[in-house]
Amino acid sequence: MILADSSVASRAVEIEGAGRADTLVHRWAWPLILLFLAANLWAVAIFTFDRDTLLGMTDLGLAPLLPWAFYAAIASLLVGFALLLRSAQPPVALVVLYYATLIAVWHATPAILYATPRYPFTYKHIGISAYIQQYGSLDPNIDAYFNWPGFFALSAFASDISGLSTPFAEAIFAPILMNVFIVAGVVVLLHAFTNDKRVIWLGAWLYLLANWVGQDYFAPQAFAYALHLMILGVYVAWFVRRSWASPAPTAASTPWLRSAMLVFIVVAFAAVVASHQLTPFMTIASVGALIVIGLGRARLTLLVMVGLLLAWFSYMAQTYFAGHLGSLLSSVGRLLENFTIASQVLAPTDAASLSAERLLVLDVRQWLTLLVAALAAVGWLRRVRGRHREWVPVVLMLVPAAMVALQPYGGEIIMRIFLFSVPVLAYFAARAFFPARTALPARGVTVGIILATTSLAAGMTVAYFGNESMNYVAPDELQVLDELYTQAVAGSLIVTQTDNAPIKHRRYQEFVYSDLSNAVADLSYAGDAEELDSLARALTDNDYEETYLLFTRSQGANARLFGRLTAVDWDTLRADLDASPGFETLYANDGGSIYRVVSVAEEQAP
Amino acid sequence: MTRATMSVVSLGLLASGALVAAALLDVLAMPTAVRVPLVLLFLALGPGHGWILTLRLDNLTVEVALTAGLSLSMALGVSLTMAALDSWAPLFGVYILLGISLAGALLWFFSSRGRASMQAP
Repeated sequence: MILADSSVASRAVEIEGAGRADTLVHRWAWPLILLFLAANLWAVAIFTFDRDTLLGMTDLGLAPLLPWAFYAAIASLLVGFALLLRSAQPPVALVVLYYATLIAVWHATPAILYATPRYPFTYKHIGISAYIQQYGSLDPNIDAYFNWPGFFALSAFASDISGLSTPFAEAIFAPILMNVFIVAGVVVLLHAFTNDKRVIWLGAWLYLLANWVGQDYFAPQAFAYALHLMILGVYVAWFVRRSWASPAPTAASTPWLRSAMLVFIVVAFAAVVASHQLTPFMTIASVGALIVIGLGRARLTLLVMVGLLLAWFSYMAQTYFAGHLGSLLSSVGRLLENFTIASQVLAPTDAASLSAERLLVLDVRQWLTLLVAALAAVGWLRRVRGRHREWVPVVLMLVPAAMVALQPYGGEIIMRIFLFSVPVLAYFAARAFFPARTALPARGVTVGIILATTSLAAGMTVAYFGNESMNYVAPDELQVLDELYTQAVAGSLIVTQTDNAPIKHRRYQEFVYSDLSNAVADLSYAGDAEELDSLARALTDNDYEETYLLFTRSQGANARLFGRLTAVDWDTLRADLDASPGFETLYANDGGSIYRVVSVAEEQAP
Repeated sequence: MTRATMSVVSLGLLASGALVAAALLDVLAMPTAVRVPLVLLFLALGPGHGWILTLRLDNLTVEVALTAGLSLSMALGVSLTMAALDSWAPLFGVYILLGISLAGALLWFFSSRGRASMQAP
C-alpha cells in the first residue's frame, strides 16, 4: 500500500514536472529563442570586427564602426525582454540571463575589442592600486585619491590574492563587473518601491538603456554608487513610510531585523565614505530629506552617517582638507555659477570649435536624457491618475539636483545629478507601461516597450560610445606610456597634451604632472620657430630633474572633442618638435611621442 | 532555494576562499584564469552570505544583491585597515574574511528563527 501510494505520488510529481516543463517551453519559447539569437549575433559581431578600424574612429565614437550583428543582437534582446514581460512573474533566471547578455553586449564589446583598459582616468586608478600592492601602505600626501583609498585598497587586495602584480587586467573587464553590481543596487532600490516584478525588471532594464554617463569603469565612484543605491533601498524598505498616512514602512519587519539592516547601512556607508568624496553627500542628503519631510525613521542612522563622514574628514582625509578646504568651500552656495560651469559640459558655449559629429553626440545625450525624463513624467502622471501618490521616489529623484548648490565638481555635477536620479527616472518610466498590476498587458503595451527601449538603445549607442576616440588607448599608445615609465628619471616633470591623459599607471608617486594649457598659458602654435623656443624655455623653467612632453593619440582626440587648445596645429607642432634641437625624441610610434625638453644651456653646449 | 541547496552554495563559497588561501600558501598551483574568478566569487559573496541568509528575506534577488554589497564592504574594510596600518598581509586578509564567512555560515546554519519578508504593496 505504501509502495502503491508512493508510486502514485511520484507519477503525480512526474506529470506535474512534465506540465511545468511544457509550460516553460511554450510560454518562454520566444524569449529563449531571441536570447539565444542575441548571444550568437553578438559573437558574430565580435569575431567579424576588424580591429584596425578602431584607429580610424571619428568624433562619433564607436557606434558607426560596430557591425550590423551588434545592432541585431540588441534588437533581439529588446524584443525578447518585452515578450518576457507579458507574464506577471517572469522567471528570475531568464531575467538575469537577459540582463547579463545586455551588459555583455554593451560593456564587454569594448573590453574585448580594445584589450586595454578604457578611459584615460582608469590608468591613474591602476597606478594607485599598484602603489598599494607595491608598498602595502598609504601616503595621503601624494594626492586626493590617497585620502579616499577604500576602493583602491580593495582592488589591490583582489589583485594580490589573484597573483596579479597590478589590477591592469581587472581594469579591462571592470565595466562589466561594475554594471552587474550597479544593477544589483538598482534592483534593491526598486524592490523598496514596489513588489510588482514587472515594474522592477523593466525599471532596471530601462536603467541599463538610459545611463549614458559612463561612470561605470574601474573607479571608486562606480563602486560607491552601487552601495549608495543599496543603502537607499534598505533604508526605504525598512525605515520609510510610503505616505504620511501609512503607519509603517513597506517591508515586514522585527526589531532584530531592523537592527541588522541598520548594521548593513552603517557597514556599506563606511565603505562609501572611504571610497569617494561626493557619494556620501548624496546618500546623506537623500536619507536626510526623507527624515525632514517626516517619512523617514531611525534618525540615529543619519547622525551615525554624518558622524562617520566627519570622522573620515578629520582623520583620514585631513591632509587633503588642510590644503584644499578654502577652494572647496568657495563654491558652496554659488548656485548660478556652479550651474553655468556644469551646463557647459552638455552644451558648450564655444560650439564653433567642435565638429558637427561631436555636436551630434552632445545633442543625442540631451535628447536621450529628455526621453527618459518624458517617459518618467508619463509614468508619474499615470500613477497619480490611478490615485497612487508616491512621494518617496519623487524625493529621491529630486534630491541629487540640490548638489549643484555645493560644487560644480569640475563641470561634471550635471552628469552626476542625472546619474543619481536615473534609477528613479527608470522606475517611473517603467510605470508608464505598468501603472498598476495587470494579469496580461495589452499588445499595445508590449509594442510600446519595444518602441521605447529601441529609441533609448539607439540614443545610448551614440551617447555612451560617443567619447570612444579618447577613451580608447590603443596598444601602440600603451607602448608609448610604458616607454615613458621605463626611461623617465624620477623627480621629473611630465607635461601632457591635455589634462585627461592615460598616465600614472606605473611609478605613480615618482613624477610631477602638468598639462600644456597649465604649463603655458594661451598656448598657440602655427609653425613659428620662435613659438617653439619659447615653449622649450617655458617648459624647462623649473627645478625638476628632467622635463618630458608626452603626446598621444587619445589626448589628441580629447583636445579635439572638447575644443581644447584650438590655436594649436597639433600635426605641425609634432613634426616641428621632431626636428627641433630643443626637444629630444625619446620614443615615438603612431600612438604618440615622448620628448625630453632640452634646456637652453644643454642645447648650447659643444 | 531549499536549506540543502543553500548549504551547498555556502560550502562552495567557503571552499573558494580556502582554495584562494591554498594558492597563496603555494600549497596548490592554480592558473590565473581559474584563480581570478575564484577570488571574485569569494570576495563578492563569501563574507556576507551567511549573515544575509540569517535574515531570511524571502527574496533571492535582494538577498544576492545585499550579500554582494555586504561582502565587498567587509573586504574593503579588511584591505583598507591593512593598508592604513602599514600591515599589508594579503594571506592574513583572506584568513580574516574566511573567518567572517565561516561565522556567518554557522550562524545561518544554526539559526531557525527570525522570519521576515521584504514586501511592498
